[in-house]
Amino acid sequence: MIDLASDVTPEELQVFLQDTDEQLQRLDEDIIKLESDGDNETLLNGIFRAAHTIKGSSAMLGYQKMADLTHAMENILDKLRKGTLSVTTQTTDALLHSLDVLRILRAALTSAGGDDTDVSAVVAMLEELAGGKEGSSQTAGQDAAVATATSISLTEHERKRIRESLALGRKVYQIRVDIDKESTWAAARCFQVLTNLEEKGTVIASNPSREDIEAEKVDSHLELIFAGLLEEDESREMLNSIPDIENVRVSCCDANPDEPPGSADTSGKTTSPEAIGASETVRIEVGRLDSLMNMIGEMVVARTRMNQIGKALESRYNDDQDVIDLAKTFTHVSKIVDGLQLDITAARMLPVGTVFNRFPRMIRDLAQKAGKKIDFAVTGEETGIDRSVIEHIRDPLVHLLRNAIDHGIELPGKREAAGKPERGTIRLSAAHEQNYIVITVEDDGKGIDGAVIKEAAIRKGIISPEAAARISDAEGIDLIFEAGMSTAEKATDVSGRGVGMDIVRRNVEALNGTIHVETRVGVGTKFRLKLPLTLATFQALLVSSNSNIYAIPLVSIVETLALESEEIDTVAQKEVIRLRDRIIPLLRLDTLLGVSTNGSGRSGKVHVVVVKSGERIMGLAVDSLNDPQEVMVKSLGSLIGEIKGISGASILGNGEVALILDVPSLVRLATMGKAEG
Amino acid sequence: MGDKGTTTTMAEQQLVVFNLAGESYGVDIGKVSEIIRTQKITRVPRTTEVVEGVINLRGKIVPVVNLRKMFGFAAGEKSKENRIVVVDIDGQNIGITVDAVTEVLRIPAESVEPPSSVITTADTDYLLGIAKLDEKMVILLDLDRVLTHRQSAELAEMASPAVEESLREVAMAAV
Repeated sequence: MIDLASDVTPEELQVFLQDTDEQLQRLDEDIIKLESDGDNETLLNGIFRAAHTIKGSSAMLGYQKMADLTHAMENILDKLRKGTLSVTTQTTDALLHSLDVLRILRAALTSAGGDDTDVSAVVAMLEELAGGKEGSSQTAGQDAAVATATSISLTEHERKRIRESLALGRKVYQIRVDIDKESTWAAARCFQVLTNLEEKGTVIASNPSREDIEAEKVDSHLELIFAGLLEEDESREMLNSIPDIENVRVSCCDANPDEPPGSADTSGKTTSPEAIGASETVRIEVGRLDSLMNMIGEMVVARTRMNQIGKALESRYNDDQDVIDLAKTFTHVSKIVDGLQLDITAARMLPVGTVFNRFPRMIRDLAQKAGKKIDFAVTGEETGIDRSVIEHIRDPLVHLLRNAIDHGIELPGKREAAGKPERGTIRLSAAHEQNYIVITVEDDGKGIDGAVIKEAAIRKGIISPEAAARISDAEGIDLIFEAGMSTAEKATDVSGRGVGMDIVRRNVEALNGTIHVETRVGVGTKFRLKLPLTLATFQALLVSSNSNIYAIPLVSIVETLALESEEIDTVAQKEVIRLRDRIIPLLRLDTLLGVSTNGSGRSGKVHVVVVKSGERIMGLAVDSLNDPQEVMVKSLGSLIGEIKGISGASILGNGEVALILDVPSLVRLATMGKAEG
Repeated sequence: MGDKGTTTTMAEQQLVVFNLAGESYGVDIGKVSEIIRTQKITRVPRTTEVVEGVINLRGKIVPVVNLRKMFGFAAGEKSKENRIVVVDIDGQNIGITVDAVTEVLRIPAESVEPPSSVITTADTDYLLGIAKLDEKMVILLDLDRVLTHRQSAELAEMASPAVEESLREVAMAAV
């Protein structure tokens, strides 16, 4: 038998790992689905195939433990398929546990430490479940090894290459060559076969592999998959001309390489739509997409400037034909830029499902641990979101879902007592809303009581009793986002929420997003996250203050006002303004940022931008307001580092640098200032 | 700068020499990306005085450090000779303001003496050595040291430590 384990090339390993990761993820989702669906045949078959794929490829690369374990899983799955075993919590647990062990084994492949994981316990457990030994774990490896000796199991990469070759009009053959057993040159002959074929096309896969042949690890026969422009007869003839070759069998592969190319009939050279599709996608480095995004961002900014210049020219030479043409061309270019921006943004999008698909497993495990019965419904997994954003939404969502399980959904008994169905429901959904993605996490649990939260906040010294008295219970609920409300067990007892909610809000706001909570005691809670589709550019209002220009993200702005100075009141020597029925604090932007003001003229109109963070609203007094425009975020660099109140800088169309205001952090600064004063 | 500019032999060093408060300073030419005229600098709030602000360098945001302030010198007169020397520190561009850029010098390695032997006005921590030439002395700056991250952490420390201390947030008193 050929020892393949030592011959795994980094490329092969990479393909195997990717493939296995995909299969494992799929298994995870499907096994959980299976638990609720019961004996769903299609689902079972899918699961079986995924497990089988892992078994085949791991055995081929010599990862015995993985092969053993998946073999044991297969036994269970087979029984489930045949109906001699039915889906229970026990089988689901066992299968999920096996997946965890497979993940550990898989992780060991890439870590330096090697793996000393013992799979025998899991295998034994699976066997016991399957009822009887029926084929010890040993046979798994042999099975697979024999399989590789008689046919080639293809990796996903190789299958793709076959599809691509077919799509390009090449012919793909499965070739088996028998070599004279007496030949002392078997390896050399095999090598010759490969070389001769390579002159006319590509050898996609072979058994023994090229490396084995070069290492003279050969048998008396060679199997390979070949893609080229040769006719069947020509290839047979060519191979027969090599000395010591006894028998050449050539069969044509059709366009369905997903099935191992067995004795496929010779007529087929159809190209399936799938085969063509494969050649129409191109893998692109993320870095390149980022750079494209960066350039288009600058182009959008430059367009704004071009527009300004164009307008100036028009007013100066309104009858000049060149100026009119320029305006037309500008409109045209402008549309192209829009299109480019849309396309590049879309190219960077990933479906939120890539994050969501990990949650069913998590919910199941946590619910089980907490002794709760929970249905989990996901909608809108296909909604696209920029990859820069997607990396950052997982943690907040995990927090929200955990909270929904731990503190939202009640225990089955309590639910029944309250006249609710025994099983609670958590809904996770995503949808596009203009340039935003809205994600909601909703449960039908016990809700949050604003009055209770307020009490807890007073006790923890987060809010003074006087201040608490001034806010409504509805506003009180927002106190769950305060830093001091989290971590302590007491907080969760009383509030029912609060584990790391401040972190959730901070994460969301760092993405220029917002989070809102709606809740009714006894009915449930709904968190609504609104996030921009991309982080690279966003709409901002430009304001100037003390001769600096600042950009305020539109998402944080409630409205803008122009007030007479008489309309500003003071309460306890702090400036306030009246906004309909509310009285809100007014802060001078320059003072808040600590830029010395020299008592800038406070006569005449005062421009105020009303901003919000969570439920907190305040007015920012600035010198003047400009039109909103799209800006591109740039970092201030590590030398300057993080500045409270400033999230970055942006270069405007005219080359000036505008600082981007971090509204949530400004609001925090403002309230801290109050505490001190 | 032709071939000669880039091929510095072992025994030689090429320096960009600039003037700061009447003294000549040199930095290795390999560290210098470009030299630009003074332009509008956007002041960044809550940074120390040493950080002048940021500029737009062909679409890139580049922080600018005032070297006089960094060394504790008095503020200089504004002049047409003022320049911003843009240097590359660990892949990040940083501008430093200087009174004037005087020349690009090629100096033999043996002319450099360790900084301890001479006393200068600038903090000796920042110095690589002193190059003694026939007609003058050039102080060799260790830019990595001048603009290290440790330093930047100090720069980023905001002007009001009181704010930093009171990390506990206080809920908004609506009025």
